[in-house]
Amino acid sequence: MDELEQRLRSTLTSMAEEVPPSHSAWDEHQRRLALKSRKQRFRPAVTAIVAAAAAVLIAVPIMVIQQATAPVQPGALPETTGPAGRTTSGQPLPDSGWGAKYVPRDGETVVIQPASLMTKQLADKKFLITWAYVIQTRRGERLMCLAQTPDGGVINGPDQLTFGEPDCTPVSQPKNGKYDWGRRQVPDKFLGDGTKGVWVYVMSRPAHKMMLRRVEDNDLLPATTKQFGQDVVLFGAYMNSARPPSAYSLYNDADEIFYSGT
Amino acid sequence: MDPMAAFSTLFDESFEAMKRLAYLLGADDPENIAQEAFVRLHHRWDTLYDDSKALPYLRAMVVNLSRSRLRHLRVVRRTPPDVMLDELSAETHAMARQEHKRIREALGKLSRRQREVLVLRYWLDLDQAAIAETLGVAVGTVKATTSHAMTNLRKHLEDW
Repeated sequence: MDELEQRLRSTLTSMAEEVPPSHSAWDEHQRRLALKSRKQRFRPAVTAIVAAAAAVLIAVPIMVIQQATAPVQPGALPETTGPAGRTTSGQPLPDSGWGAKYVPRDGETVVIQPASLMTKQLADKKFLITWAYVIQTRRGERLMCLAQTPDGGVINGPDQLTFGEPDCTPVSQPKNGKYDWGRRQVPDKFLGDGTKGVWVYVMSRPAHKMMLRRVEDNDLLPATTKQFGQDVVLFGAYMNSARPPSAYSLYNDADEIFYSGT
Repeated sequence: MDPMAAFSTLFDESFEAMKRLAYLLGADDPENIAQEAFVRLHHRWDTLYDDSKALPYLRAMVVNLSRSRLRHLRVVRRTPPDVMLDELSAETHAMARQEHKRIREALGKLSRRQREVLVLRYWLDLDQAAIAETLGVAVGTVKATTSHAMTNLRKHLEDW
């Protein structure tokens, strides 16, 4: 193997190590299989509905043609009707995946459901999951929160104190033309050994994907966690750096950049 | 071994590698690609698990899904602006990091097929026959593509 081949191998190995491990990959795999099998179960019903709709679409024009060519009967003059009901123009929310149960406190509501940010294994081989989510207080203030529960646990559940109270910071609606509600670096107490530079962002829709630039080497890294709310999206990014990302870009659901910031 | 236990073992052994393969091929959502590849493998598991075809199938699936993703994204044109580039260029980087950065950029300038061949050869350590099977091409094509890829890589590094 020549020198270039060795350098190439070393670089590829280094790049591959940048990919953070997925501790819940098997659970996610099971979820996808369940989702697929549910879709397949519903497929015959959907086919029947589509077939029925097609039959109606064929039958209606035939009836209209028949009526149009038939002699007008007394009292059969058309009546005026109101405007047709509008359909919503909004895109359906993307699948938010699986998450933790959340018990609201003091009249608060959940704006973005808890998204699994990272997982670390406990001594008893169970997993401790760090969740990120957004709530709105009774007074209308929004908070970006981090909380830890064991796998299958409930945020704000009876044993929450065992794993620490949720850690929340306020976020606020950006000015017109801006999309950044707030960001924070995940404190060390939530991180596993050797993990550093995990960031959480809350952005306005239509944000659908986020890419971030790491300071040290100018590399682009995707936000690997995301969870959608009605008007905002939560992104989580592993930068593996002690310094904040130097820049970011937001993509819409057509994979077009619509905003870049620092 | 029970088929489902065999699947679970393969998942444990290969998920991270498949995710990293997708990342090295340039996909922006490697985890999603690895998951999708395993879901597809699961649906064909009855025919694949018993004759050592599962891993080649998985690799080929990751390559194909990464290609689809790249086609969709056209990532080269959709990178964030170099907002901090001037400031960063003044910083001192470690030699090793510089070296990796150079090769990474040179890799990014190769054609999709050339990059695939190099990643499969020098990261997954596949031989030419296995690369040919993964990419669905002849062994001769793998040889020629590898040779062109190394020549181009060397040229890009000299130009840097």
